[in-house]
Amino acid sequence: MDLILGAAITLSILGMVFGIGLAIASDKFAVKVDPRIDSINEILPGANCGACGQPGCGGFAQSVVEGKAPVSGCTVGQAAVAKLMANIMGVKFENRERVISVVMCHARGVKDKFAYDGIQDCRAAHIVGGGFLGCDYGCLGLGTCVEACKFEAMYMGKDGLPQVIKERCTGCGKCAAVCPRKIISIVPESKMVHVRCKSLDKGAVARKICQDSCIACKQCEKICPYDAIHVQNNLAVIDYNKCTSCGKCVAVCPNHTIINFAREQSLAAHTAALV
Amino acid sequence: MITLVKSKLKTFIGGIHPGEDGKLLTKDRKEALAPLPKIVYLLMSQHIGAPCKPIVKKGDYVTKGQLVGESQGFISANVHASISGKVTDIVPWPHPVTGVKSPSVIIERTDEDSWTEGTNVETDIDLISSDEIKQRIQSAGVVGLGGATFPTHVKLTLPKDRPIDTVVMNGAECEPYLTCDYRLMLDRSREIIQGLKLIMKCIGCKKAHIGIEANKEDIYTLFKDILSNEPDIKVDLMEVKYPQGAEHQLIKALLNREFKPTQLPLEVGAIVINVGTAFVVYEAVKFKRPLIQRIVTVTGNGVENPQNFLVRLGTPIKHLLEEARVVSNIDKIIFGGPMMGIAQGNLDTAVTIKGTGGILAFKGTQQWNSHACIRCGRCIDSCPYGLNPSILSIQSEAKEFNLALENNVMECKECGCCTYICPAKRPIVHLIKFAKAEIAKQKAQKATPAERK
Repeated sequence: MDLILGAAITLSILGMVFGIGLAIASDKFAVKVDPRIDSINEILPGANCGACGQPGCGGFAQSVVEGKAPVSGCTVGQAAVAKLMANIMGVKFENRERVISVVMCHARGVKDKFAYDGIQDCRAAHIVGGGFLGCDYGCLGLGTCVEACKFEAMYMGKDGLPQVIKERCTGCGKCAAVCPRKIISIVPESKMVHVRCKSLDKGAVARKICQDSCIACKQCEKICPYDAIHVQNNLAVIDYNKCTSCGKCVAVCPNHTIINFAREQSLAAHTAALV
Repeated sequence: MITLVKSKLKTFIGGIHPGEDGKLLTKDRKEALAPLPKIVYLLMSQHIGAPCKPIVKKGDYVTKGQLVGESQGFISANVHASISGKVTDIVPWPHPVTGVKSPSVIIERTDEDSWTEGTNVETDIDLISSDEIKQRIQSAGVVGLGGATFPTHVKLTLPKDRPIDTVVMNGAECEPYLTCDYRLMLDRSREIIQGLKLIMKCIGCKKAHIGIEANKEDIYTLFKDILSNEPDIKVDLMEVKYPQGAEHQLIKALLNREFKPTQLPLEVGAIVINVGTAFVVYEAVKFKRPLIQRIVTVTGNGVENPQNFLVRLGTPIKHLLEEARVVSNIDKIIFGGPMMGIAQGNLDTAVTIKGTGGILAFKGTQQWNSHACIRCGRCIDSCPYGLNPSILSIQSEAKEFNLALENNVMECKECGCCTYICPAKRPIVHLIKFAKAEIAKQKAQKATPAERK
């Protein structure tokens, strides 16, 4: 009995001594951390995607508090996170529109130039003779962008082109960065009309290669009431600041290169309802 | 395999023995003049460095040897018309090796085929000054014909603090199948030696060393005969091994000097020139002939009549393959040698350039399934640069490019020994090229924001 009592008393005394020691040490040697870093860290998505240009979410939180990064810097959290962060930092929040990635290639049935049996990665395939695809600008379809997506917002569609799940896409731009042909663009979510082609070949050449290519006929340029679409280097390019997604260019595009997402979606819904 | 008896022939550590049979196909084929093509496509970027600027317009008439592309900047080489005819168009054209598009002058041939004024004149070169030699080389657009196409006048412009004591001439021709250098050495040996002497005179170098692989003993005796009165120019036989003709391996074998893979031979007081380059230097200095043609080996089991053709630059390879009677069921066309050459995807756009030494057509090529690395280490044994191709390929496969960078991936010269020897049939060189391209891309991205500031 004595043995047990003795042990208990010794341990409690030791515990008290160490406890007091630790209490003093934690007060004396405390590292001063801005409490805002922790609270911002809690708000951030925590995917450590690096799209903000910082080494992960922790690094971004620190940069925000140090004033090196803007509160709207997190492309993943977008407006919701930016608003909360602005509250913590006590700055005014400017609403920025949600952005998503759009695959700007529509190509179906483009013939391959040669049989490629190398590494199954678009970037590696692109350095072999400029890519195996008949079109020098089109999607190689090996799924490097899908692999790069940290939010499972992309998948390879049945037609061999990557598809974006709009709801999951955070517009972080990882897919656009890895694409060797720069086919993926990050655009405001509300914009519905896109030129789904990146070919800079002359119209006659492009048409032979791909039935969906932009042939630089300038029909879209002529009909656009907002001066938002222009043909540059044999390719129609939309100025998203001016575009209102009215869809007039979609109607005149002879190769159906320009598409209207809103219309596609309603059509899909319509077919789904019929089935 | 452990070689107990040390070979007497000079060589380096590493490398592979890819077999000799390929060379037999064309070894005895004297250079044949290929019928002139109807159309030539002259790429403005046939060399390492800045692409040329076309100085002719659509509709102009040009004569053989006329300057059509003016070099831009110091590291660049002029491009001359290889046939006489009319410029039909100037369009972007893909480079047969890199796939990068650069402007190309398309010339449609007329019947005439005489040299333009000021070229093809025999001059006295006994008292020529070194500046004049360099100036003629530069205006003739001479580049290294070993394959790297580095402008020769740049190579001959030496930094003052690096004295050169030896000019090394590469007669190894270590790539299997190719015999264009062999034929040139056999048929134009005296001209080659003259060219070598001109280069030595140009840089003020007294000594030269010629390296020839042991499978070309006839060339060795031929050169020995010609050079019997010249003690300053040594000729040596080297072991038949790939890549015996690469700068580092050649200098190690002949001079027993070593330098880092990232360094130039200048570091050890040597410069390396190919026998083909020496020949065109002679042509350019003695006769003021610009570089408009070269010998191309067209061979492989996909052609019925393998040949060494004297080819005008810009000739579509389709034309050459037809001339060599290509069979209908070819599987692969390779530009250059089988080890470092680039397979061609589009026969319609592939044209010969200054660096094209061979065109190989194969039928019945094997397809391999590559496996995971079995860590046998054969690639490490074979790497002539002392790298670890196994770990580089694994890191590149895992997209860990920065780790590959730490393992000196940038020092790889893509000679292909590791891929050749790999029992798991891994595409090691492709993986390394992939890693190198990605690292270069990252570097460019990092560089741009700093430049903007």
